[in-house]
Amino acid sequence: MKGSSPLLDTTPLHVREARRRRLIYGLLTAFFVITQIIWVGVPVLMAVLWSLVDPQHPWSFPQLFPEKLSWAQWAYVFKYTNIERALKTSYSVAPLAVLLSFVLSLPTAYVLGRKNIPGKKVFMLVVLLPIIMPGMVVALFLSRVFAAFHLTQSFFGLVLAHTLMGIPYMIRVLTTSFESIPQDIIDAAENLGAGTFVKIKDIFLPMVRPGLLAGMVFAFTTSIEEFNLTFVIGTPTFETIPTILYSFLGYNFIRTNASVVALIMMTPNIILLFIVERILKSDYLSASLGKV
Amino acid sequence: MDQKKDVSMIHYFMILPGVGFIVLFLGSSIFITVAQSFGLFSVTGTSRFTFANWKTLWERETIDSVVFSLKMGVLSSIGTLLFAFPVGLFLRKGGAGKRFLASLIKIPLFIPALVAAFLILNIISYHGIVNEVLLALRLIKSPLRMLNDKFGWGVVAIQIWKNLPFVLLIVSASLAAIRDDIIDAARNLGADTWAILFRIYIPLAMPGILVSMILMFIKAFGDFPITSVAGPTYPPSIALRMRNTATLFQEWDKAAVMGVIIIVTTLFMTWLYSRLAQVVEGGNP
Amino acid sequence: MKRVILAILVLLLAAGIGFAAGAKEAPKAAAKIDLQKATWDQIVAAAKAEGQVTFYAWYFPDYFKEAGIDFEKQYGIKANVIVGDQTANFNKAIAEKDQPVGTIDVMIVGGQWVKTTMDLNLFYGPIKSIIPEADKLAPSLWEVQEGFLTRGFLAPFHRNQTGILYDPEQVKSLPQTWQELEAWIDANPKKFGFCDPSKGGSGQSFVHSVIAHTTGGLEKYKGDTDVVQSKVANWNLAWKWFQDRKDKLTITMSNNDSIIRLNGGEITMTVAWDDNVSDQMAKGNLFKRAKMYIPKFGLAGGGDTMGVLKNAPNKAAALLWIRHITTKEQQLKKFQMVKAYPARMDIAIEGTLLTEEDRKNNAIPWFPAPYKSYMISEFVKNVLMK
Repeated sequence: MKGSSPLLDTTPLHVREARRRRLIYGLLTAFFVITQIIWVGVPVLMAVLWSLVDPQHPWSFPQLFPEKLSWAQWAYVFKYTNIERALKTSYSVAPLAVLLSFVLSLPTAYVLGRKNIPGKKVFMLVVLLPIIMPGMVVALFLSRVFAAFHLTQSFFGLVLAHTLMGIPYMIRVLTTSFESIPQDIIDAAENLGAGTFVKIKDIFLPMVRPGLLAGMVFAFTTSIEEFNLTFVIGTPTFETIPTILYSFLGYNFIRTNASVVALIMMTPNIILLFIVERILKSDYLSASLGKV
Repeated sequence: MDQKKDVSMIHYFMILPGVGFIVLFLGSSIFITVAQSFGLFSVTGTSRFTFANWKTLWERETIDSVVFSLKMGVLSSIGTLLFAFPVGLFLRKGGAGKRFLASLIKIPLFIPALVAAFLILNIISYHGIVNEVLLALRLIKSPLRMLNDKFGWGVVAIQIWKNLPFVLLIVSASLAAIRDDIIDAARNLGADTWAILFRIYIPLAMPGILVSMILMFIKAFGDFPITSVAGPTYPPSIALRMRNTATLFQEWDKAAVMGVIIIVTTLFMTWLYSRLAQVVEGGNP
Repeated sequence: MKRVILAILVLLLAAGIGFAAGAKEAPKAAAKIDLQKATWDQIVAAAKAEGQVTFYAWYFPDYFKEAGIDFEKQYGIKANVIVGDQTANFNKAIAEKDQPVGTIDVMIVGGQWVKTTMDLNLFYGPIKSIIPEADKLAPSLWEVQEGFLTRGFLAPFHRNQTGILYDPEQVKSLPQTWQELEAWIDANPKKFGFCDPSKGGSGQSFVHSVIAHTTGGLEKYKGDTDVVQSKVANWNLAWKWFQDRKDKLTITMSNNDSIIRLNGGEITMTVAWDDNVSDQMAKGNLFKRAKMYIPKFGLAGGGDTMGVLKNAPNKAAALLWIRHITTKEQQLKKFQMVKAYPARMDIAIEGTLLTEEDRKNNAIPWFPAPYKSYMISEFVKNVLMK
């Protein structure tokens, strides 16, 4: 920079301020990134290390790292569990569950978000019931309902079960999104003669997109992680990743194998996450700049 | 917001798929749980109507468990919000590296609660990495015992770690709906950063804040896996106590009472949160 | 309008209730052959006709998968081996109990679940007279498991024993009597850990022994089918033992948590199940130098069994599976693969963590199951809550 004295510095004030702000934001971002890498990365790194512990060389205090690394734990999981079958099941049920919760939730969320229907407060609470219910009640009683409807040991039953668990999130988040659509935009569109279909396509759907994507992410993760009901009505015909995970993470906790299954579970999800993030980000920008 | 639009028949049918689906499947489970709390439909086969099981409501262990779970629910919902909201504000505008940051932050969302609990427990264990680093930096003389602390901070920490992206996602969606011209207008009128925060961002993002806090509360209040592994030895969370009552002590009907307590308390707290949100929203022009 | 929607919702609710409550039909006709009266060969033939068996476990996925493959090779019957979680397995069995036909044929039964499931009448039996060579399997375990009278309904396939697990580098002299243990705990505060009895059997075993030591032995409870209040009147002495040492004891959150904390150096002595310890060592979760012993003051042991569900679709195949696991070859294989103690008494094995001598001299039986449940709730009330 030419001229060290501020009196002689000729760059305009607003440019200097903009530069300073960008520098601060840049530093903050870098700081956050580093914190996040530690905050999220360290625990995950531990899981990676545990999954690579060689069975003949246990990792104990005072070793800071495992003495010897090997793929034995991974080989064990792939050999003695039905992890491939579980992966296929989990990742075929989840997208369908997300789709079904979207279809079931959209009309409900619209009404709850934009209409003053009597009993609205009650409906808002009823919608939360699947996640309020204690897991034990879900496993013991809800499973009987599925049995009564002949939905056990069936793929469709699993999709329904996962949808049931994900719907509360989808409905509540979508309702919030519908609530925040400014009425004047809808009025303007109606004044311009927009029909229902156009309203849905060009106003509602785009404006609730951030909330919708959030809801879909939650429905997806809920499905991938669902265990209680799935175990009762799905096994032995279907195994999912959680049913295998809990055999190493539950009463019989074996850290090495549990780490393997957890990582197998995390990896496709994280890849999916980065993809979704690209879509989400572009929507934040457009929505926040007031563009629809 | 003007919601005095006509509510017609069609709107009732529109809520049927969502609400109806839930009622159809859950209706009987809730009914049976309530019935069992009064001694009917008993799992063991011997049913008679009685209020006897409800005396567990006064037992110190039940009260301790409910209070503990309430503590976990409230602290987790507030804690995640405190961390998530500033990050949401920060990420509102695009910028170099922010997309990568946003993805990084969201990773715990895809890690199941029980796995998250074990990961965190691993690093805060007696000779875990946190203790080792603190020792190496000479900040402490001997390792801290952070596992299973009496208050439950371990559980709260794990809930925040795992659910930060959850709350962040919802809050970001709300913040995204706030138009920039409102912010600019406020700045032009001379509002400083704090005023913009408290009189624009928070009230306008309130629906998202409320929803995320409610959902977070429900998760943390009814939690079972994280508390059973990382919580204090006493008291257990109410969900864990419910399970032990049934399977360890075979008092199934008493467990049903606790199930009802869980459902009722959660619904009450949800209503409470909504009222609080109305107060905050209403207090701002 | 509102009434219409309310009416629809009530109808849906009623439909849901109706469906769920009304699913109780009379159990299907009995199995084609009477399993109690048939010869073993007839049962094997019936099993082959059934064609498959579904088995639920919560540990040893490696051994059971191999056992399943062996079973299929030998009998041509498909074996569905599901290794789930202890609680989840039993939740499922209990959830299905009122259905005429369930989805589980045979499952492992152990821990506090013995009482829970037997009280709910989940199992078909008695099967002791049906299984060949039943007398070669741990006789006491056929009759009593975890202090509960199982009367031949559950077949032993696996024995385990709690013992003191320690780090030989840190522990030089092994406490054998209570005085020695108390002295050790005093000299090494926080280095002795045991698991919360409501969360694991190893903790139950330790508390069980403390009660034996402080309240005058376990003989007096023998044969009781319910808690006799006069006999437990002096249990406050046991709770006092714990309260006096509150700051010197570490309470862990599960059987495996005790082992993990030992591995992590936080504690140097704990109570653990020998099969857990072998498994964790074999998988690299515990240092190989760890050792176990049963002190002279005695620790309880037991084992796990297998039960055939009352509404199992393939009962004959289930019985055949039990026979398969309890043959000499499979029991030996199990020991070689996962170092778990066989239930068969006629196999000579070497290389176990606990010596045969310790088992013979220092292992003690559990007191009756009602006292165990009482012990757990009293421990919570008098030790954890204070």
